[in-house]
Amino acid sequence: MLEKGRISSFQLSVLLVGFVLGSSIIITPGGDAGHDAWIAIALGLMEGSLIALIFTALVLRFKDKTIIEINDLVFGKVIGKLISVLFLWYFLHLGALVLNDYVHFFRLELYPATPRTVMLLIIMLVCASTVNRGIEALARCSLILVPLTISVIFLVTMFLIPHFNLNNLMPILDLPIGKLLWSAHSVASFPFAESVVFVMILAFLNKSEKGGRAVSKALIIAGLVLIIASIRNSAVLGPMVAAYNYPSYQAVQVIDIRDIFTRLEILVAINFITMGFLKISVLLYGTVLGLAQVLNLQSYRPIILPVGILMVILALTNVANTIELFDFTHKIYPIYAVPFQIIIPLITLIIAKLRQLPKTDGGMP
Amino acid sequence: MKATKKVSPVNLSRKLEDNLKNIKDSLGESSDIIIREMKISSNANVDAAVIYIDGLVDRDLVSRDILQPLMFNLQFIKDKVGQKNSSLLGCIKSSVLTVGQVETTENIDSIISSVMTGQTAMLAEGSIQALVIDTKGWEKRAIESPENEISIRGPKDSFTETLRINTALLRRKIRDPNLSLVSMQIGQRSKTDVVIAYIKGITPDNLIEEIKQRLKRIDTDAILDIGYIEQYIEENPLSLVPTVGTSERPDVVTARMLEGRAAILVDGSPMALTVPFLFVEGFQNPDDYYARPFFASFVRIIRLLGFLLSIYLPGIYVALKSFHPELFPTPLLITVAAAREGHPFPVVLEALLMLILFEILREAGLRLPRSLGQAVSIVGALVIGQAAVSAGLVGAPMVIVVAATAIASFMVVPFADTGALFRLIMTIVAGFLGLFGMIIISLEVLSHLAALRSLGVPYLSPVTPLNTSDLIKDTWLRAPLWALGSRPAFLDPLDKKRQSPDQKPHPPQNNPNERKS
Repeated sequence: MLEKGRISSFQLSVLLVGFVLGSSIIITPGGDAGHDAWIAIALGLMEGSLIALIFTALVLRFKDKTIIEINDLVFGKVIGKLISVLFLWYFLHLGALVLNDYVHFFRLELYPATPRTVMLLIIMLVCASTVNRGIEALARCSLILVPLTISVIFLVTMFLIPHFNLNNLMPILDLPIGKLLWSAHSVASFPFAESVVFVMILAFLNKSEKGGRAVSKALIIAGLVLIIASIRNSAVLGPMVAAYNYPSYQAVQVIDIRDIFTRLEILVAINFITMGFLKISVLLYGTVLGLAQVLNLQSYRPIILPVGILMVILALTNVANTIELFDFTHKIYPIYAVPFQIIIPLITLIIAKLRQLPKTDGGMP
Repeated sequence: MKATKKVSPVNLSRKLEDNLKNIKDSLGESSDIIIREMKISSNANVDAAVIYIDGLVDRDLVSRDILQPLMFNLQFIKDKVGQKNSSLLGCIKSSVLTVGQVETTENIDSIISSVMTGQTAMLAEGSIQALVIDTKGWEKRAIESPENEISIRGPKDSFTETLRINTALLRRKIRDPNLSLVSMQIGQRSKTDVVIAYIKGITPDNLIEEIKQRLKRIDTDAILDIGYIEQYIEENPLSLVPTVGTSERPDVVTARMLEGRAAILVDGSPMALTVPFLFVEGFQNPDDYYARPFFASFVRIIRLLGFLLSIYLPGIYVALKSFHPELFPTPLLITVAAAREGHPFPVVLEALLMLILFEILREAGLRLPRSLGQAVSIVGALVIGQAAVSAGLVGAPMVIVVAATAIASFMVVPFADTGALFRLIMTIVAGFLGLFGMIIISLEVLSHLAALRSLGVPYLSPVTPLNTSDLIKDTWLRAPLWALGSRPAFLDPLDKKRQSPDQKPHPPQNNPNERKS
């Protein structure tokens, strides 16, 4: 076994909440649904939970095996490895996308003069050293960071209550149904179904039978936080909410308590740093562990830094500018992610069921 | 260092002269080694010798209870020498010497090592045995009140340099016979006595085994202080934070042992180590438990706040000033900008200058002879405060920031030195990357701490991995004593229950004095 650490289902839930909040804490999903974003998030949560049901069922069926080992068992060595490499590409690419979200946000809002490469390398070094310490350390970090982040979100929401104008949410269901469904699907693909990377982590649960509930609990909690944030942003910013790239960041700027506590949006930025750190670490961990398993390595630790650098290079080259990044995430990504999030896990699950895998040792057919 | 050179084990011969020559050869020419030869029989044909090291033994004890009886019982000894079936030394041991602990040995090496620890050896002509008499009694410091860990309501005794006194202090607090004191010697040359103290039935056995393993591994020339042991047994010696706790207070050590930890005591060190040591322990103080719970909880939270301030405050000031000035409330921003008017250095340089200056003052104040300390503090206050500002070196707000940081840094003593390093790192990073850099470094530290273990126990327990009951009852808050029913679960104690349930005091049910209305 490449990973000796084990995590509890509670730790898994918290880590998953952190992962889902990841970059969606700053890029509130469902933005193109305008003031109906919260409905899109609720629908997306449902779709995302269904998707999560597929891959958790698949992984928990094989108990302590990651998706790489499962692919080998279900499809055989050759095709299994090919499918595993597809997954690895997705994790790597997703990691690069999150890195891009990170850097573009900071370059736009806080550090216009800091070079992209420097920022990416710094983040990657911290994530790599965390991954190097194993899944246990990562899960324990999340146990401190996620509660802190959620309390900060609630705190700033409290501060914003005086600025709420609930009329901004009216009329409910203003959108044509097709647009709403598209928006809901894009919410499902980012961030909820991205949790498909946990096919690498579910294997390390100390009680695998609790995995399904842990995943669904985490998705619901993260979904509720996102819905609250979305309602808050619409209520505060009104029709302008769809125009902003980072609505949470804009909304929190409104806070002004007697001229003393102003410009608290730095709190949102800090939340984004910590949650993004969790998300990138999880993705890096998934990529590195998967690659080590595909290549039959003794340890995944030596390839952490090379893969991390690869992720940085991919992040530097795959989009030219912020506009392109948003264009990709809004228009292409919801379709691009479907095979990785739904189709491949579903096919694997069906074949595993048909072949009655995993075979138990006791001579069962 | 001839005295401790290894010699192959030599047994005593019947000739006293040979034995003494052997011993003299091994002990060398040191002036503090006393070899007192005498005749102990009235017909003056039995020679004997007593060997001890002056300064390590209790002189009164040696002359009153060893020399005097030996020389005044000439007739008795003469009678015994005549009898065939009784050995001379056996008789002396049973009937002459009036000292508590006497043992026999046949080996010159063991004689020498016991003499080195302050025991007295007695040899006699014609005997292949020797008596080793416990006469340890060197000058020692009395038990004084603790100097570094001050408590308001707690006991006022502290450990001293003598191991026996320290173990006695523990025994006096816990009369349970299960209090075990396992001793061993470490150090090729110093041969220092080390004691592992724990309570059988509470401390898990594998913890004791692990400690023994780690102590046995130590193979160095000398253990001069408990700090040596600390550095040899730490799990992650390259970490910036300590993973081994120290205390000079018997009550603290006892309390930790009662929770399921083990203590290590070293002869010659007025401190005890306790393992495992966790992050939250740094914020706990004996007074928390002696005072009522509300204020204790409040003070703990203040300590956490002070600790965070002492690490982050200069960094935050630098970051806000150089990267995020919009975060200052506008009136304050104007004042701060005005105060920095005409100052040549960037704010990060100012901060580093003041922090380094503060560390210099602190170290100088610590090392200087006491009589000079006053002068340093006056000069320091002038330099750091008034002069630096009026000379235009630093802005006035920076002085406030550094002063507040300095005070806060002394609140959490176990992490005071760690905090100083983190503070410098944070300030430098804040100068380069602002709040973003500070958060990134904090994340790195957090993940390091999350992976760290002290003797197998995760360093950040019970916060992460989470143990809700311990987290609520005795981490940042301190529940009333009657509610602390079980020992901390993360230490995995053998006996989980600390007290019987329903210890909450309540008014008497049938109070005879109650007025009937």
